[in-house]
Amino acid sequence: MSFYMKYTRVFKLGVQASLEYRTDFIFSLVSAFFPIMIQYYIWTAVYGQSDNGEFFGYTYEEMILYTIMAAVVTKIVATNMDHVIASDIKNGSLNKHLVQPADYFGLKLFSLLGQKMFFFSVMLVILFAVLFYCSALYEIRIPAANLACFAGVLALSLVLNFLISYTIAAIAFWLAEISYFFEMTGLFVIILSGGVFPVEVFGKTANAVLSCLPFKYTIYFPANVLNGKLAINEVLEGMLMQAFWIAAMLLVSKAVWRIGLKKYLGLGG
Amino acid sequence: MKAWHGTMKSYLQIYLRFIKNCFIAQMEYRTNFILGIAVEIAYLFSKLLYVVVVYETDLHIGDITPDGILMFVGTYTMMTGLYAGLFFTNFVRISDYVRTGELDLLMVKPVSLQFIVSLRYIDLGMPIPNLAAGITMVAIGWHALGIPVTFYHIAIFVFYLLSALLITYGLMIIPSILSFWFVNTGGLAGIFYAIWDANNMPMPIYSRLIQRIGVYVLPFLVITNFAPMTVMGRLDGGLMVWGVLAPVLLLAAVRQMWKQAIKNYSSASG
Repeated sequence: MSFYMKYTRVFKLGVQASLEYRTDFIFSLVSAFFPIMIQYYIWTAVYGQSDNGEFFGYTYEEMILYTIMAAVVTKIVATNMDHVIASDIKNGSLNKHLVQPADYFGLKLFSLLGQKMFFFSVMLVILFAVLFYCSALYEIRIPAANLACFAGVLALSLVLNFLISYTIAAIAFWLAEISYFFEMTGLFVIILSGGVFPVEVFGKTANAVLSCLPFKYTIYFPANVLNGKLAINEVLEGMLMQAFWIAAMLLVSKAVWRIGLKKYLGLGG
Repeated sequence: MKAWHGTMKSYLQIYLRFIKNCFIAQMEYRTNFILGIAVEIAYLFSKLLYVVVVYETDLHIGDITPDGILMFVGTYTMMTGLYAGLFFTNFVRISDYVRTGELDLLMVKPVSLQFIVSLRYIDLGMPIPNLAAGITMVAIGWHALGIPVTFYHIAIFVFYLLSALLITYGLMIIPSILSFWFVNTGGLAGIFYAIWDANNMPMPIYSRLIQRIGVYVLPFLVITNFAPMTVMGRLDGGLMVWGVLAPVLLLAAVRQMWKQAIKNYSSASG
């Protein structure tokens, strides 16, 4: 089987698998609505009581849009892959992949892209509908160039987030017990990526540290592309940073996995 | 009366056995125990971000000051800990019991089925960070607001926490009971967790409609709002009575639902 055939096959399997869990997806969309609602009321109270038009550098409209966009982007980029990969390492399912004439990394990446394909499109439509509604409501104009770039930004975010998960999952090579561990790391990654609040909330120092890390290019950056906070040159700059971090994380993950595989015992399977 | 007393006593003894048994089991897998605590700390961290935002923006909700809000967040954190420790593990398992037919085995045991299914497992690690942080937040808020530390105030606060605990049981078990009819209710449970998080903020922040629904229809908001509101003197007589009635009505309704669910159980597979 050619290289191309192999991975398109995995991609298609991913698409099929995702269509099997449609109801789950709808429920998860509905549950994404509640945190948005809670934060909507918080921010409305915050901005309503004060003459100060800006908090953490955001106007009210930008903050509300950030909240909505961040919640939806989190749903899109969240992969759950660290859990899957870590259990493959722990229960020995990785064995069969080591002898197969296909790269484990490639298999996981393409099956993820396949799984996300359908929802990615649905979410894009929802995002644009929300945006259309909100920009009419709040009278903000999101530059057309930002809209055009967004699909690209989101795709890069998804790949970058996958690489982060893939790297973190390698910790399973060293851990004896993994049950809850990746739930914890996953949550921290979402917080650091700006999935709960924009990273400005953490304060200046934390922000400076986060600027040297890849996390905020997965949720914080795409959300700000769509709330009109970033000008087009900043968007393009951000996309370059995303590309940089993808390259960097690719190297890091390869290195970590090479060391990890030397430790790998292949128990079970 | 005497028989009722005896039954209560034996159930209490069984429950103490459950606690002992779970403690022994958890001490055997200590890494898991510690990781469970670590996960809760991560969740706690994400909740504390809200506190940061409240103080940074000097948020006042009506005339509730940031210190007042801290008391609500603290109560919410405590209740989350109690829910995670006492009920969560059990409720997650219910749909597995139904799917795998394990319920057959539990049915033949000489105790109430609802009791053993919904209270069998107690997690002693997970609640620790939440309870510690929650109690601290309530204490800080309590002190900052200058609420007198009298027996009456503490007793009434604890009383409404107990009422909240009963409501928590009644509400959060609903998705699990529905799994007797629909096999997979994970999505619905996810929605309930999301609604649960609405308690993170005092209820006056929400619109009137949401407050009405949250107090009278699905009494989620009663869980973390009533205890701090009573000690702050913000709960009027009518609501105080509702805080007592709501858990009773809810538990009665859940009991009926449970009976219907058991009638519907077909013991498939297993």
